[in-house]
Amino acid sequence: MAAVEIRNVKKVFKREATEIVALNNTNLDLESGGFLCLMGPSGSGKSTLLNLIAGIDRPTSGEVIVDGKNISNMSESQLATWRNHTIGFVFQSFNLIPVLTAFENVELPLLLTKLSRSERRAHVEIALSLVGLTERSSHYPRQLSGGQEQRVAIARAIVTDPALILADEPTGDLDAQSADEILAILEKLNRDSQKTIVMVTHDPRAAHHAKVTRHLDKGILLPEGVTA
Amino acid sequence: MKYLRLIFRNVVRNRRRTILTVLSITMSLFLISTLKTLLDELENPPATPESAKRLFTRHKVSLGVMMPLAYREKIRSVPGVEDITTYQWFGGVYKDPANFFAQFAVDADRLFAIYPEYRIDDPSHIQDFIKERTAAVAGVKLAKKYGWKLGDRITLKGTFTRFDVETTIRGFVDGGGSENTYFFHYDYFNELANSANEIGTLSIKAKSAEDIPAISDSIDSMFANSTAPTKTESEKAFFLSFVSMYGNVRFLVMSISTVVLFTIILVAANTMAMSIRERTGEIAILKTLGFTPGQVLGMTIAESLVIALAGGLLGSVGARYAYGSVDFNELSQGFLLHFVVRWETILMAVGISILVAFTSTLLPAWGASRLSIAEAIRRRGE
Amino acid sequence: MIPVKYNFRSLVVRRVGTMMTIGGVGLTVGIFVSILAMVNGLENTYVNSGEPLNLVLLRKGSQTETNSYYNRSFKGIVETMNGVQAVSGEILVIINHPRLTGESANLIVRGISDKTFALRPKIKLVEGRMLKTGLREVMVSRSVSNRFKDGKIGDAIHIGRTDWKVVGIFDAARTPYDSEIWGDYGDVAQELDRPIYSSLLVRCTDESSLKDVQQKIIDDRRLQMDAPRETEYFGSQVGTAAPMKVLGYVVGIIMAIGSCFAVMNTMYAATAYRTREIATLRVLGFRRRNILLSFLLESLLLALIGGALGCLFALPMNGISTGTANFITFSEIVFQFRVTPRLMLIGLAFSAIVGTLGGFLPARLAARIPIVRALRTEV
Ligand SMILES: Nc1ncnc2c1ncn2[C@@H]1O[C@H](COP(=O)(O)OP(=O)(O)OP(=O)(O)O)[C@@H](O)[C@H]1O
Ligand SMILES: [Mg+2]
Repeated sequence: MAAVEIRNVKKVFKREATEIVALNNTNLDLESGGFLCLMGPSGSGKSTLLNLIAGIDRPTSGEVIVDGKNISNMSESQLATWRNHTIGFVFQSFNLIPVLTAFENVELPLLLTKLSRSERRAHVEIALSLVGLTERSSHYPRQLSGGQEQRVAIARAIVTDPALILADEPTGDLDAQSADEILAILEKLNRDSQKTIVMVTHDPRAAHHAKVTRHLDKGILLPEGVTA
Repeated sequence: MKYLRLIFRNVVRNRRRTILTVLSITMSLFLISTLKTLLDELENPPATPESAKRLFTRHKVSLGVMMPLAYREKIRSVPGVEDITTYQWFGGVYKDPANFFAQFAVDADRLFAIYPEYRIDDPSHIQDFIKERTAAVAGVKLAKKYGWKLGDRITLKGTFTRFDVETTIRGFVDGGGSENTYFFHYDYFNELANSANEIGTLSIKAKSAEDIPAISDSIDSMFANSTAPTKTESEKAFFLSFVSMYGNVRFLVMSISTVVLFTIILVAANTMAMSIRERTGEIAILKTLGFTPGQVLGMTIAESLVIALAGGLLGSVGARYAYGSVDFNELSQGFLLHFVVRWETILMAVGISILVAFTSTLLPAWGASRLSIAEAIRRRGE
Repeated sequence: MIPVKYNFRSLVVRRVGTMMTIGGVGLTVGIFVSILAMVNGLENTYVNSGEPLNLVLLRKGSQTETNSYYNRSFKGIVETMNGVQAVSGEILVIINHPRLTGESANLIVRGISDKTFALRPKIKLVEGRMLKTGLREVMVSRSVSNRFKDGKIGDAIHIGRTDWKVVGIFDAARTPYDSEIWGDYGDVAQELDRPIYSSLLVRCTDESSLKDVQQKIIDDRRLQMDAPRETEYFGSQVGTAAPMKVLGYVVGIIMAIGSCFAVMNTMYAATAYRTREIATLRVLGFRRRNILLSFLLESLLLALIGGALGCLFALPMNGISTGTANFITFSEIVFQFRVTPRLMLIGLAFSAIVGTLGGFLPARLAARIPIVRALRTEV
């Protein structure tokens, strides 16, 4: 079954008088267990596409179907619950909550589930061990390096065991070595845990970790193998 | 002055925050103005040239103890005294104890001479009032409240007397607090009291305000060794002694106002801290451009000044107009004659605003000035 | 649910703003609770004062003992009624006497009988001795002693035409009697040249005979008297606190509105600083409702801490003694500030209202932040 299906999606941003077409007539099929890398120049619509898949934005027209569900016509609160169960999102700038420890940041999405305290603890510990940060669980974000912060963010993304992991330039703010560690973790999640991954990146080396790379240009998703 | 534009821009930069801060300060200064006005009205009711010429004589022991009526004629002959009337308080009940208003038994033929600020609805009604033993004149506001008309018969049930008074309204009065007062004949009162010839309070009009201390001395020494020694004081002092009965109103008002002042400083300081923190980087850039720390501080204080003054003026001037449309005499059942926020109170609010502007800016500005330019630029946007 | 520690720690991070806001709410609640404590103390003087089996006999129409007077023969009529245990005939006069601070106030002088103390068992002599008849001696309450000139044992108080020696100090257990000077009935009546009673305090044997006695007195056309219970008599004067109450509510409401604006300001700033965090929480699956509640909770927390602080600030007021005028008896009533747990709860509830009202709009704004745009904002 396809993990992600995008059907004739168009996204237009209106700002005062001007209209920006961020995505035009986009179609995409991604198999479950796939690892897709989205590339393209700045402003080409990569983040927009990722946000649509994550259900944090709605298409102007067309359909977004994730895991067999058409998310384009879900209500706000249905979407929220759906995101919690189905999506793990990794941001370029980590977006950890500064006042919560690494452990508490990872635990955050689990607070929306019915899991007991000890079950939550177990899940968080597994997630943190997967990213190799067990011993840092009581640290606050500002006490961590950028790479470590991003690993905590990945742990937070996978702790609910979502089918789909979405990462928007996860290595954008990192040095080369930390970036490699993050990419290795994502690759491992894809290989060993069969997570479907969509990753946006500017870094050609990062793209090597993915199974498929697609390019976007001015809101058009180019066919496989075509670069702008 | 050339920085005015920049200061103004900063004030409106975060419009919501500015408005909320101004409103918060407005409420506080509205309150302070209210309290100050309460104190003013109690302690310094506006004196008219007429009221400044009046004195009251009462029994030295207390208001409740009566003096011989003969004092009236003895006092009339004291040098400097122009006129005198009985002014006997009668705490009667009209229909229901909840209907509370002031009632006085007076010398009908003297009342309007001694109290020229009491205006009668029709000059001929003064004669009607004087002629008839059981006649009365009623305050216009009382008349409105109870629906009284000329010729209505009003019975006041005595509380500290054994008798009730039954009167007929022959006129209406207005001005000088009379609008909420009911007057009838002392002679009638005395007759009902079995001609006891006793009086609680005498109201005296001096020929001139300067004579007041001398008059009060001669009256009190005249009766010092009698069975009923007296206490004579100016109308103002007489009313002040009522205020002092309330306890230390001034202290209460001052304490509340001080706490409110601290609250305003906290609110304003919070706003200025937020405003300065947001602009840490900008301030650094201004400094890099060659602005001195003093100029930067000056501009921040000016910004705070605009906000505090807006709040202060809105609160105090707002109070002046808000209370202008309320009838406090009626609301307080005659306890306050009126309630007018004076211009000096508004001036005081302006003073408080300036104080607040300085104190609220100093702390956050001091913090900002300690930052080196490099540090500030690095923190920019944080 | 977004955990409360998130809000708590966020408040700590913005500690300067948090502290100033807490301070503002704290002062507001503090002043509100203090004024209420004053009202409470004053009302408490009247409420629950007096003995349940006592009747106060007043001349019909006079609402107070100070306005009342009647013939001394009436005492005999009442004493012989069935169900009457004891009667104390007393006389009251108001004197004008200077406070320690200089300005004068009216004080009640009560000429007491040999039954006065027996019928008011809560009143105790705490210093000096009982007064003796015929010597023009007085006892003053401890409150009057602390508040007025010439109130110490050995001092002389001027009543009428003569000086009366202070020989004892009594404590009336925070009842209106705590604002009085007591002399001997005969001496006071003689000094004033008024052979009358202002009031008769009647002790009945039990509740049912009290009702009978009350009825009999009211029905007796010779007497022309009202006979409220002592508790009702004082209870009816509780209106003395009304102006203070009005002041308290005026101050409280105006300050509350001002504090609401201040809390709003702080909470708007909080949402602005945390726009990215809010968006992240939404991406993780938290709903708008969760965000709304979380920010409302934070505002509530902020205000409640302020409220608790305000209550603490008001606590030292407890027991402070002050006085005001009872315009029914036309005399000074001395009372103590009373900060009770109930008042503190009112203070906390008051701060909770400020927190909720001030926090609602910012919380709603936080909940409405569009995720995508919020993620793009540079903070
Ligand atoms: N919320 C928005 N409002 C208005 N315009 C937007 C919004 N989000 C995106 N856009 C516009 O849509 C276009 C695509 O933006 P998008 O963020 O998807 O680009 P991107 O490919 O992720 O670029 P980058 O590599 O710089 O992150 C851009 O022109 C952008 O300005
Ligand atoms: Mg992007």
